[in-house]
Amino acid sequence: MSTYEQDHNITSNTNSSSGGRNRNRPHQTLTSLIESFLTQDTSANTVSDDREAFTNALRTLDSEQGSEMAQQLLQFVEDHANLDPLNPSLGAKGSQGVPQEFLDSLERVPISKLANSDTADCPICTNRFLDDEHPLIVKLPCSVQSGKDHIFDLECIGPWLKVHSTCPLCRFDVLEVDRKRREKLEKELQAAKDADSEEEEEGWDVYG
Amino acid sequence: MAALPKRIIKETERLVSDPVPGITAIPKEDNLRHFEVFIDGPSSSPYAGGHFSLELFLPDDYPMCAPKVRFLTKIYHPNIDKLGRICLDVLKDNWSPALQIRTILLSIQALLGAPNPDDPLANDVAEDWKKDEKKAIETAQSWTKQYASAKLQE
Repeated sequence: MSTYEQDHNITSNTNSSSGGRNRNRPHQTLTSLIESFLTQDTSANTVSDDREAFTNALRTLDSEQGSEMAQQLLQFVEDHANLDPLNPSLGAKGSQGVPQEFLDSLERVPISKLANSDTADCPICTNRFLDDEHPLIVKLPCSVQSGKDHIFDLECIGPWLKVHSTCPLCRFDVLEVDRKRREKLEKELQAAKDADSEEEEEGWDVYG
Repeated sequence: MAALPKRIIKETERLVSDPVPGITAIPKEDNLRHFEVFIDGPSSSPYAGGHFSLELFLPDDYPMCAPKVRFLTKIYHPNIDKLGRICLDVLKDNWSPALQIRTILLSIQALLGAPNPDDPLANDVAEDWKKDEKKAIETAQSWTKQYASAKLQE
C-alpha cells in the first residue's frame, strides 16, 4: 500500500501543514472516523482504505495538537502494516488469492463427465451436484501433485480462491501450476527460437 | 437473523444422528450457530476419563473461515491457554472450507492425545512440559480428575 505522501515523495508534516487543500472538505477527526467505522457497511471498504484513512486522521491529530498518543498509534499502525492479511505481496504461501481471470479460466466439468454423478457432491456446500438443475462445476489442477483433480461448485470455490490460492481438499497451491506452466512455455519458446536460429545458420551454410 | 445455510443444517443433523464416538455437539436453542460440545479425553492420554466441555461458534462467513472453539473446562495442556483458547493449525492458517465441525472436533481430540510443547500458546505449561514431562503429565492427570471428571458435571 502506498500513501499519498509516499506517492508524492513528501513527508507527512509538510502535507498536513499545507492545510489549504483540506479546507474544502469537512475535517476528519479521530472521533468521526471511529464513528464511521461503527456505522459504515464494512463490505464496501477494504482494510487498506480504512488504514489509510485512519493513518491520515492520526497525522492530522498529531500535527494539530502534537498528541503523543497519536504519534504512538501512528508508529503502531506503521509497524503492523506488514501484517495486513489483504496485502498480497506479503505473508505465507497460498495466503494470496487468485485473480478473476484465473477463476474464469478454470476447466469446467460437464455433468456427463461427472464420476459417480448420483452421489458426487461439492466438498464445500456438501450438496450433490445434481441437486442443482444447472450446476457449474469446475476442476482444480491438483493432479499435478496428488494425481487427482478436485472438483467444486464454482459458486463455492470462487470466494475461497479469491483469498487463498490453495485447494480446500489437498492444499495444493493452484497458482503454482500456473507459474510452472508459464515457465515451461517460456522455456519451450526460447528453445524453439534457439532451434530456429540454428537452422537458419545451417541454411546459410548450405546455400552460402 | 439470516437463514441458516443448508450446510450448517446438514452438519448439525449428522452430528446428532451419527455422532463421533467420544464427542457430542448440540446447538443451543437460542442460536443455532452456537454449539455446546463435550469431548472425552483419549484413553491413552493424561486426559483419559475426562469429560471436557467446550463451546463452538460458527461465524457468519463459515465455512470460508474456521469455527471458533474454546475449552470451558480447565485443562492442563501445552497448546491450550488459561482462557481455553486452542493453538491448532486447522483453526487458524490451515483452515479449509472442506473441513467440518466433526473433523475439527476430531482434531481437538487428537491434540489431547498428542500434546505439542514445541508449538505452545505462549504458555507456562509448555515450559513445565519440556522441563519435566513426567511431572507435567501427572499434573494433567490430576487436573483431569479435579475439573473434568464426568460425575462432576452431572
